[in-house]
Amino acid sequence: MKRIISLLLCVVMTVGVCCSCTKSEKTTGKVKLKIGYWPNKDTDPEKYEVYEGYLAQMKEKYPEVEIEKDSTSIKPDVFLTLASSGQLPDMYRVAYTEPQRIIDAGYARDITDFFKKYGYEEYTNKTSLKVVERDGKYYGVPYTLSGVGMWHNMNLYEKAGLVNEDGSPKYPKTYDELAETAKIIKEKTGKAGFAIMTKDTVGGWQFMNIAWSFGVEFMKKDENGKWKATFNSPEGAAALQYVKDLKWKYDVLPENILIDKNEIIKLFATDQLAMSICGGLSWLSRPIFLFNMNKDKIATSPTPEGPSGRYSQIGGDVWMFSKEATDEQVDAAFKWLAIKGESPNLTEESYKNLEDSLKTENEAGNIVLETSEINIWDNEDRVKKINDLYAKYTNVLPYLHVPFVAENTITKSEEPVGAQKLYALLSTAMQKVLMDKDADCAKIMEETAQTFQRDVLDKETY
Amino acid sequence: MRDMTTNPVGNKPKRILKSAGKSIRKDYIAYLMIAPAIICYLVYLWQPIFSGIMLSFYKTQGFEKASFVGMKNYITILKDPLFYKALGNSAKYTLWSLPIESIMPIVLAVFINEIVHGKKLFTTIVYLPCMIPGIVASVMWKIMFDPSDAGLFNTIIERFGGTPLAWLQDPRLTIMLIVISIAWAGIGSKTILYIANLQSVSTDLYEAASLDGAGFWSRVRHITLPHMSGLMKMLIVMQIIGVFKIFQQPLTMTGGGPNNESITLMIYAYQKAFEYFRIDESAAVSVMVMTILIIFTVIYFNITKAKENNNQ
Amino acid sequence: MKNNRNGIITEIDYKTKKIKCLYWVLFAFVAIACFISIAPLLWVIVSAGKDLQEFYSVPPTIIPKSFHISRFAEIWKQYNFKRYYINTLIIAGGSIFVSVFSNGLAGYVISKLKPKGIGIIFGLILITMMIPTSVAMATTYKNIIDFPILHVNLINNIIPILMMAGANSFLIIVFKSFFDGIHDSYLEAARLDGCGELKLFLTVIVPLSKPIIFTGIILSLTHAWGDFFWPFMILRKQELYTIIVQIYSIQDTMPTDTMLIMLTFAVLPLIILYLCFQKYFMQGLAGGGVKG
Repeated sequence: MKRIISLLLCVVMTVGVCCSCTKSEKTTGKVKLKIGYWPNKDTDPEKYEVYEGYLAQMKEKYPEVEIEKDSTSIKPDVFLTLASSGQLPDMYRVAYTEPQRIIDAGYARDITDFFKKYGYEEYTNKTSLKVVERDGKYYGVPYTLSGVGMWHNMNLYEKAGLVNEDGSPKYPKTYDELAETAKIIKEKTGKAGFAIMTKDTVGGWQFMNIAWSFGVEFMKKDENGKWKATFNSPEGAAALQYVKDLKWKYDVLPENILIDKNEIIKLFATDQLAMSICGGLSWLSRPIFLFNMNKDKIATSPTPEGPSGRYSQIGGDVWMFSKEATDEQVDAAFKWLAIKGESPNLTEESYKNLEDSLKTENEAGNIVLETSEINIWDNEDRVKKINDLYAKYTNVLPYLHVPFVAENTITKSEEPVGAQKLYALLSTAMQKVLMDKDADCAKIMEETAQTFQRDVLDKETY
Repeated sequence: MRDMTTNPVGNKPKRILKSAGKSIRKDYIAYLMIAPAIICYLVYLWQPIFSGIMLSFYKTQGFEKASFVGMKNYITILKDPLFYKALGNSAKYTLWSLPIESIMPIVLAVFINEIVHGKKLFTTIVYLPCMIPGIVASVMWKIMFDPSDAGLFNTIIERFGGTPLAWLQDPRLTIMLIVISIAWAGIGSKTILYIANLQSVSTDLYEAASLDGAGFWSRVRHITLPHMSGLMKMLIVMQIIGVFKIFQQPLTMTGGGPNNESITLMIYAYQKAFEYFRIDESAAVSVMVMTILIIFTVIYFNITKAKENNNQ
Repeated sequence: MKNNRNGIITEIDYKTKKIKCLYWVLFAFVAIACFISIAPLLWVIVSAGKDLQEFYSVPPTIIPKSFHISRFAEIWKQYNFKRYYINTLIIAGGSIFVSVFSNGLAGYVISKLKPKGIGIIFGLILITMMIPTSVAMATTYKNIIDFPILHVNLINNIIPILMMAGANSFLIIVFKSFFDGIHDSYLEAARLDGCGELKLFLTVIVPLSKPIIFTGIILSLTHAWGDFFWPFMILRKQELYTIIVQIYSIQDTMPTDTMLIMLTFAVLPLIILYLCFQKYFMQGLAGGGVKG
């Protein structure tokens, strides 16, 4: 029996060794590059095909680069575990909210040299640059940039009679109008007129748009250079009061008060919700893909105007690199980006690739707007070329779509310090006023500001 | 630590065998038999947990130690009102969970044991939810508790003319409902254990009691319950340990909301670690949970032991 | 039927009206409990087959009007569930074996052999149950990427998953309580006959332990089937995913209707397995309750 046990142990161990030794072989002359955020073959087959096309071109042009696809999703707990053990893909995608946190945690790779060499520093939009920069060094490649806007469900607009003669929606231009419009829809259709995200950190993130429009200033440096939370102001209370009124005065919100992006998309796509803040153009394809929504029933418009103006928070995607990535790998990754068209100089092939991908989107029945998003590249010639392409493949009814960012829109990126924590606290504050009819907005903002001051601003590290 | 415990496997066994007495030989075989478990524990639990605990005394960058800070992380946590909210919630979870998850299985087991018609079928069905993976159960209950008109329970209520509820989003209900959903998946296995335990009660005892004129409830009190007390004691400890580690269900169903009404210590630790990248503080929370549970277990067993001694 | 009555209510009692009433009250109570146990599951499975329009209609239909088995086939094909089933079976099978082997032996050693220093080890095993493992996530992962002493990378390898199954405190306690119920004198007699420890274990203990081994198999099976976090971290290739890992990794992007179908895929085999082998399951589960 002992022999059997020890034998078994031996077998288990040797199998382990054998299975894994293939992994550790050294590559000679070849550059292995693992790229994250690869389209999933099951859930996103069209995009997967497009990527296969890029891959073929890459192979032809740079045969020494061997690309490994990684389509596993990276959730926060997974991210930190992978990062700390050096198991992240060599290049992976994160949202605008992440790079500064990753730099803080010490898991970002410095790519300054390549960033400058390939012209990114010169041509990238200044707001986007700020997202990946720390002390003059760059840690990521921002490749999309978009503001938030509003989206509208035309089925419900039609039912509520809120359609102009040309078929365009009578969408609200100010926050007061928004409440009124939502109320009409609720009365006529019984469906929620408006919804705002309230969960985790996304709630606070959407609330920022309202708050800025109401003139809220979230934090300021005092004379000693210390940050002070300043949103315990009448403006802060008013912004929160607005959210509270949507629920208790106008009663236009859905019953669910723990709402995230998936919930919004579901409600919107299934005609349970007439409008909400739309977190980016990438949202537009979700109701179509997941719920077979008719693309001509989706309309867009800019965010409404508040007492202090019209604000839109910008966001987007960034490529970041594993700390373990070698110079060769980073270099190869930049070549890959050039093929995909995510580089400042629009080469012929990347132009062709962009055209192909727009064509695919068009054929798949996804929304292709008349112009691209707010452009990330400070290069007018390029912007024009790309917009021409969009115009060629657009498949929407032009009267349904007003760009997210209007002329008087002030685009703003996130608050300078502790934005994630701030969002989480604001989500909680929103949940409080949605739960309690008698909640005191000024008091809640006061408490929230105090907590933020104590837990984030007063700590030595940000 | 690793070297000491794995030694019995690695050393040259033959020589020890020849020179040593019977008890050493017995110990050697015993350690050989427990070696697989010890190796598994060392590699994937003990060593990582030990390193993890150490992090709570450091300032960390990601998962790396940056500088030793002593008890500073603990002090930070103890100053955070949200910690007390989570602690209070864990107590609330326990308060709800004790009656629902402890008493229900006992009642069910005693009742099922009485039943003659279709007893086997009932036993089978009662255990069925225990086969369902936890994440599946949470998603399922979340869908049914949908607070809008589209929710299953609200539809049923409205059919009968009631006013719909906010379910998980009602701060008064949220913890209770999460406990119910956990109990749904957990009661079955406990019931089965109690039923098995009841098989060893001799029916003669009941007959004798019945001849003495003891009624149904009096028989339950004086014969059945005392018989099960050993198992009860153990299951209650396991349950309280489980309640303090509740994590996945509220995270899936409410994310700890609304307004942190359902946040547990484990979600609190999770948020610290993975939403704010504060591994050090998160580790401190985990260590505190561990301390609470160890103290509780020791006290609990001492009390029950003292009680037993008194009874005898 | 008369002999079946082994509970508190005796045959004589049952003849009185009051007790008869009580019996049926108990019966009703148990019946309701069973309904609660099974209704949500049935509802999920039946709802999953609704067509999209009915699925998202408000108010929803409690008893579905439509049931489309083709929806299941579609999702099955689109997401290639066959592959995930095979992976799940391999992992579950391996986990069950390692888990019963390792934890069972540990339970036996702790209960019966009690070598020097076993108290400390048992103490550690108990404490392990009390510490939330989130604190050890990264450090655990480091041991997966770089297995101690041997220095091999076990990513995309089944071994770490099996070894994690081999360290299950709850199961060790279950085994230990079972072995505690076997009288020492029984073993002593065999020892006096000159039976070696291992032979004793194989010829005396193992045959006695069949029910508890069943318990171990059931508990390990449900655990292995439903575990998603570590398999997700360890199996970094989609073709290695188990069903639950696949669901976990795409749950954010799935609408509820697809989700329900996938959940059905995840639970149906377990339910069928359970119903087919329910006799053994019961025997096994009862095995764990010999002594508390």
